Amino acid sequence: MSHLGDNLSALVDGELTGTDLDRANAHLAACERCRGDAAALRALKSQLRGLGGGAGHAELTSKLLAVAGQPPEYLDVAADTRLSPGRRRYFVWGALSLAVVGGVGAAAFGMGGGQPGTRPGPDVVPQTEMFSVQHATTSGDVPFPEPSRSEGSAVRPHQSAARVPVRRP
Amino acid sequence: MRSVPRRPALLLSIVATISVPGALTALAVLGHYQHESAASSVQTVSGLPVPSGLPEPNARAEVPAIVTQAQARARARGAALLRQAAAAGRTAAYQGVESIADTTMTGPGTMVARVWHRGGVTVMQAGSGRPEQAYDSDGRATEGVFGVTTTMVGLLENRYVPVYLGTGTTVGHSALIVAVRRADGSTAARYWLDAKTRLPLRRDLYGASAGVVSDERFTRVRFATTTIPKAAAGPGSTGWATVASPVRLLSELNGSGFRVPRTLPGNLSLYAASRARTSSGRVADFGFSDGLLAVSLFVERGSLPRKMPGWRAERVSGHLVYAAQHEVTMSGRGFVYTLVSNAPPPTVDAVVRALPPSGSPAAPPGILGRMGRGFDRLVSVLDPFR
Repeated sequence: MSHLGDNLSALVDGELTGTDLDRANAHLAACERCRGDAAALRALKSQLRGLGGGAGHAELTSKLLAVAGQPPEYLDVAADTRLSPGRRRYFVWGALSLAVVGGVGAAAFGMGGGQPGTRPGPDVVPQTEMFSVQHATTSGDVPFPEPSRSEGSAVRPHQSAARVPVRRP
Repeated sequence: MRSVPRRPALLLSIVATISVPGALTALAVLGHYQHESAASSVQTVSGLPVPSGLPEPNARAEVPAIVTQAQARARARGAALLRQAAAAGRTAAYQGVESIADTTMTGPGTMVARVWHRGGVTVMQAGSGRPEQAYDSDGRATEGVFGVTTTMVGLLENRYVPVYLGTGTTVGHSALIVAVRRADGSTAARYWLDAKTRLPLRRDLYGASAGVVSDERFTRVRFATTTIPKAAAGPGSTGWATVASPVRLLSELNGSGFRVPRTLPGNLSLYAASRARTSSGRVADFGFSDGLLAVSLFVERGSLPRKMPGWRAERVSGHLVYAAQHEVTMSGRGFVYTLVSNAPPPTVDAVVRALPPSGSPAAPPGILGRMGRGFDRLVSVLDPFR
């Protein structure tokens, strides 16, 4: 008499359909050994679900699978659902980088708000005499005299007299 | 097979660490340049038409092809003579009377001044006023006659072609004549240099189409060891601190929310910057020039008073500006801008239109512009010189 073999696991997992399912159920009804194996496998899977894939139970799961004669690939499901220290480090650095860059970008966006230089500030009368001499210093030219102004910035009358309007041909 | 799931996490970290800052930097740079838009207008301060011959910013005058060896020699000699003239402005001892006639923002005018120079000290006496030591600043050596300084000659050689024309006579002295040509071959300036000392005795500036726009000359000059009169320090002789990096200071100002370009209309490049304190606060000076024309832009926080007696009010691009002879001042968005220049009115008009109060639209900057402005402000906050 041939037993269910690989079909036992498929049966327990609900993967069999149609004729295969009927044939497996018929065999199970007549074979005490396969019924026992199926019950043990269901109990094992129920235990595994109760473990929740926690990292500390990996060794226990491995041993249980070994007892049940199942291949160790079941372990990969549990192992892949948690982060190794190396991957965790990458994720931390990535998150930190994103946080810093995002923070700088957000700060720049925040600081860039408002109208530039909207503060009216104090009244300023241009110090044109001082500016004219500074212009002459940097450009190597002669300082321009002050035009006549009745008030405002400092006025040097003698320089105003120096500039005489002329007409060119 | 087990290592495959790790790779995406590693790649994600690397990509996030490298690409996101790069993308944000690119956004900030894009936002930075998004600010630099200047409104155009046909209105002018001087009422004169907008100059049509102004070259594009950053345009570099192309040197016309050398045709003959004689022309090449004339060019080499012209450049060498101007460099010698710049040195003579520092080292020669002379005294004389200078006459400067030009077209100002309020019309043509002439200025006459007596000048003494010896050993790095220049004293000027305008009209019947008292002599003033007008040039010396920050302890730097005095230099320059009619705008011929080492810096200006360097700028000039980048944009024009100096050509030695021959000999002549001016103010009773034998002179070597150097013409400064534009890329199209027209004459932009002409210098008369003393044949012995190389000191500039006269300089004429020519507009692209308006003939002579400035005539600067000695009407009397004597080369000798001369006694320099006692002079008071001029009003601009103290307090100015030269900035090592004009571009950096300009960036700092731009971090406050404005965009002052590095090159002004007329191909005037930023070449100098200084800072000082006045009774109304700090002021920054930016010097722009092409080697012939010079514009000094003074920027200080505040606003102009409602009444500006002695200034002529005008509208440029809808913004109120005030013009005097060689000065134009305007305020906007918390700053006062004052121009001092020997440039002809059309060039000054173009410069005024390019400056922030009249040149920048009031439209909101958008996300990129806002981030760019925010980065500017962040950098300004972190700048130790601020």
